[in-house]
Amino acid sequence: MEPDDSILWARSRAGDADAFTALFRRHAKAIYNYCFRRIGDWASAEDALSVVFLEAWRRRDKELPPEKVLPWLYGIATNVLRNRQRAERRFRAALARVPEPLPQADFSGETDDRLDDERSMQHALVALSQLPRREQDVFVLCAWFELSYEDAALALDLPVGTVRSRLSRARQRLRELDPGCGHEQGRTATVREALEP
Amino acid sequence: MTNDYSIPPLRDLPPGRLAQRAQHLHAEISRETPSRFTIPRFAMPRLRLARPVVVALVAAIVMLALVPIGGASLATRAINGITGIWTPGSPPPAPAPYQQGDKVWTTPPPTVSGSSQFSPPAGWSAPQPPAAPPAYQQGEKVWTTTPPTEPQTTTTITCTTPSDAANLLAKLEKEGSSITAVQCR
Repeated sequence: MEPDDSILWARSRAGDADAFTALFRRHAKAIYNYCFRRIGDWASAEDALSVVFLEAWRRRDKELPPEKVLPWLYGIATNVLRNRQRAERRFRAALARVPEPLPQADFSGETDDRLDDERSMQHALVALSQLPRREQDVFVLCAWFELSYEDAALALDLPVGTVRSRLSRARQRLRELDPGCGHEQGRTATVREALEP
Repeated sequence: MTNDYSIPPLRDLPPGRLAQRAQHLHAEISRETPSRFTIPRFAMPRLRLARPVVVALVAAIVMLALVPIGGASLATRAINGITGIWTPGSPPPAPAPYQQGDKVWTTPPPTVSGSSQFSPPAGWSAPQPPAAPPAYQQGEKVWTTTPPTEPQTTTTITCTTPSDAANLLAKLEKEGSSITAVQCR
């Protein structure tokens, strides 16, 4: 059985690259999708994913409460995406060493889906961009990724009360901006769903 | 602008990419060097500029410790190197008294001059106290010896500034004098 996050994080802090890579495998999907939902581009999200973990490794002296590695990674990702140019410049050499994608079996169906995702996401991001940045951060973590107030507070280094009030303001503002927003599309979530407390 | 704000479902990385990215991450953090990760590239020019400034500051602090300021000195210099560094305002710790049979030699207490400067007591370095060395005179300047009760193998005389001390030491050395240390007061 794989050790839990706390153990892997403790080993990572001691410089264990294997333990940190295990954390990467465990949380890559969550951070990859978080990056995508903040920038609306799968390829960029993949690079951002690498940058987030390189940055997390750089900050591995951080002591974390038990089972709070993922919220902390969301926080790193938020900062990386906010300062994307600077973060990518810091790790430019490392990103240049990412190998070319291996030849894959045909997955054109998935490619089409991903293109649709990008279009949908761009629309959602246009709506989201009408919120102040600080409210966007809280809204995405709590509404789209269902983080608890406490975890969002840890991720964003904010008091829990601030997270609550920002989320409330964000929901209110989105309702005012576009009361009719949100059409159900299969199993995908919508901004409308996310507005529900 | 359309009203369709659907959020796409969570997806895995494209096939093979998770393993490839994991391998890349492992390779990067295993080959990590401080210059690559702990110092951001954009910070390097600032560090390059800062280094000479830090060196200059350290040099200035060392000079301040060795050169008298307004007649006050922060250091005592001897032939065998620095024998004592003290800061105005805090006297150096006095060595324990020296005893041989029923004879007891005590160290002179730190004395405070008008400029709040402490004259440090000399340390014990040998079991036998030397004879009191003669005072040294040069023109109108007179250097006094340390108290004869000090059991030092090196004879110490006192003067007022480090530059005096350095000049005197050079002169004494040239003359082959038995005086081997100069204490600055």
